[in-house]
Amino acid sequence: MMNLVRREPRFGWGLMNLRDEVDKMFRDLYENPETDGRWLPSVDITEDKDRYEITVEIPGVRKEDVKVNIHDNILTIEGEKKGSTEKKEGSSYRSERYFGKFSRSFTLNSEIDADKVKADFENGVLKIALPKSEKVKPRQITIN
Amino acid sequence: MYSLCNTCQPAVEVEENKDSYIVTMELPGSTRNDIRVWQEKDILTISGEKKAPEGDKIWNERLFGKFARAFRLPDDANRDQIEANYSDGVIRVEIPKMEQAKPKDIEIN
Repeated sequence: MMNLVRREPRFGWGLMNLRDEVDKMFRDLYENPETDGRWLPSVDITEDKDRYEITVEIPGVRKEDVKVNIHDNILTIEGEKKGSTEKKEGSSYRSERYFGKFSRSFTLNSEIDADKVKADFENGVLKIALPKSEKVKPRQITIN
Repeated sequence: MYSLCNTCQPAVEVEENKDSYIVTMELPGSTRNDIRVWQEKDILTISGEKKAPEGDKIWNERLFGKFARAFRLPDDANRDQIEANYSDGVIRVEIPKMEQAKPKDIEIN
């Protein structure tokens, strides 16, 4: 049962938007990645009996440049990866890293206790723990 | 999952300023012990392993596995003064340039 629904249709490979995707690929290739702000961090989601965990890779982003919020059952992670200051004065030989603003959103299902969501950021990885509410956890009933 | 991630090597940026060359590589979720940086003759190599955490994944975009990337050092690189730092999921290797031989006037006796 996958209830954490990704809202952004960025990788929707329907036939209708295939052309858009290809156009976007070329734009990403030829435009300066520092200003376009369209990179998307990679995300993993795990589930166990007590909780879901969303893991987001945002290497090089500082803690103060990331925001996590829940509004109307939608969890949004947004922030900005700022480029190094040396870059402006120096020259770049090879550039594979993306910089700029990013945002990803997830719809939370009713299983999740939104008041107890916790976020932790270490080594460029943001981990968001989403505990399941007590109501939905399996419960052993004693036979009298 | 991915034993060796050939098609998805960690993203690298190589920059130069007047004093040094700077190589940065994105390795989110690694620890210092997972990464090896070494220089042999004129080759600088960054290698290591990005280990997949345990757990039942219901969505997966992150890539894990071994990686290695090598860079040829330019002639003016000071190979003895290379420094590496890991913070916020990014390894940053700084290679200082040698003191350039400045043009020097020679006195006529």
